[in-house]
Amino acid sequence: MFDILIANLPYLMKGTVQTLWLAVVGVGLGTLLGMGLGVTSAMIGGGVPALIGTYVFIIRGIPVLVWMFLAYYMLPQLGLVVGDVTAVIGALVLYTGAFVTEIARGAVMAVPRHQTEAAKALGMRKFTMLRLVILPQAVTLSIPPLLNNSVMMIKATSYVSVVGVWELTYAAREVVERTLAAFQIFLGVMLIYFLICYPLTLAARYLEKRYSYEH
Amino acid sequence: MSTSADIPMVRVKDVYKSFGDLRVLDGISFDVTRGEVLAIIGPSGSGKSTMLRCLNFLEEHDAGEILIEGEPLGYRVRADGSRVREPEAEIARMRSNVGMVFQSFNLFPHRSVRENITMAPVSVKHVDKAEANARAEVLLEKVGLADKIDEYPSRLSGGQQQRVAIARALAMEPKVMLFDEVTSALDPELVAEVLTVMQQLAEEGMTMVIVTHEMQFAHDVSDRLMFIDGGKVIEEGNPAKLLAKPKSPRLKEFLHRFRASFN
Repeated sequence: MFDILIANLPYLMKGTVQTLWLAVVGVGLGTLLGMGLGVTSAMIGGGVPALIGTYVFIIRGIPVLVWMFLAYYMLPQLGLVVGDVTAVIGALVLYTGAFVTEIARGAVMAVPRHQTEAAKALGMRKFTMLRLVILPQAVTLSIPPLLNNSVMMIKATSYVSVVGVWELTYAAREVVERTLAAFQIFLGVMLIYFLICYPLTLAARYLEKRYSYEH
Repeated sequence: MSTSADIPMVRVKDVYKSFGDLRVLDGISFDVTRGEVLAIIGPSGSGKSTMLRCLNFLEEHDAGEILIEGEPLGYRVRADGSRVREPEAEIARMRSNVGMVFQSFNLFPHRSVRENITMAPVSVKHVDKAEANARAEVLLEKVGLADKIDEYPSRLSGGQQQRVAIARALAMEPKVMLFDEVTSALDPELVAEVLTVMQQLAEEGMTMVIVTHEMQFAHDVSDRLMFIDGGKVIEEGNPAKLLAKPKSPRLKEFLHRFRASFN
């Protein structure tokens, strides 16, 4: 019954590799970017938090699909000739980064003020305090939303197919056009996405337990 | 030439502090000499906690000067009266000489008792890890918690947490210790164990500034009692005398109300 799916599985697996690659690079770099911006925004004063806030506001206010189109069509208009893969990865990184910025900022802000006071009273300077007191507690707080965001963004990699970047969803559409077996092919695709995302959910649960401490 | 023995450990000179329109410290001045135990009492909202928090720059004074062993804290006052904020490194260095114990303990929940105590000496004073560890053991012995060294704060009672907090502050070998209503968050039966540790410290000659509601403790342990209200020192002196024969109407009223609460 699933013979068409089975026959095309190697091709879909190739697409899966491409999806994983996009996810690791796009979501990974975006998460790093967001953590840096979020912590910066929470820790320093002046105009920087407002600037970071503007970035978050603009990126989050527009659907990721639209950002894919913008990255693909707008960059060449601006004279930036980049490959289509680079363009969509850029969009994924910026999009992930915006959400992670808010997660990281929120986590740092959620560490009680008493904790920073205790650290200050012991003579710790800002960076030491950040490294030893704030970040370890903020990390614990941010694991669940970060993993949740990663799962969202892994699924968002499927949007890159709209501008012709090849990955799992694109490959699936090709196979369906050729075989007309939409049901079983997309059933397979569904299963593959699930198999990518479900372990992350499990990892989130494990990490949450591993790094939790009672208050 | 003045020797270090002449310089007061803490000197507060005409300090003002407001939160918005509310003036909390209203030109307050006092000294704490080396080895002295000063207890500060006063009604809530009198500015006593704010005063204490100014002594390690957790609150920044708006005007006046605070000196720790002759060194300006937070702001350096120029000859023309203008003040310059000290750089962050300098503020941190000054704070490392002033230990503080908080009402709500504020231990680091993600670190064991041992790490709570060794963290600052290792990261701030660059004390060797083994040495910091040995010192943590000695300090825990002193506060009666040697067996809790590898516990996490959440596993300890309030009284135990507060004693760890005292050990943590002592690990920095501060010149002066500040205690901000350290027994107020404790169950009544746990108060004594914390006060005993503080009394022991006082007997060892530690310079201490204690904001407290424990009138009996202030009477027994402090060398000098200071009653503040409205951000000013209203009355100060020998604790026994002050409590037995208050002069100012405000202290009389405060003590009257305080005693009435026990009847």
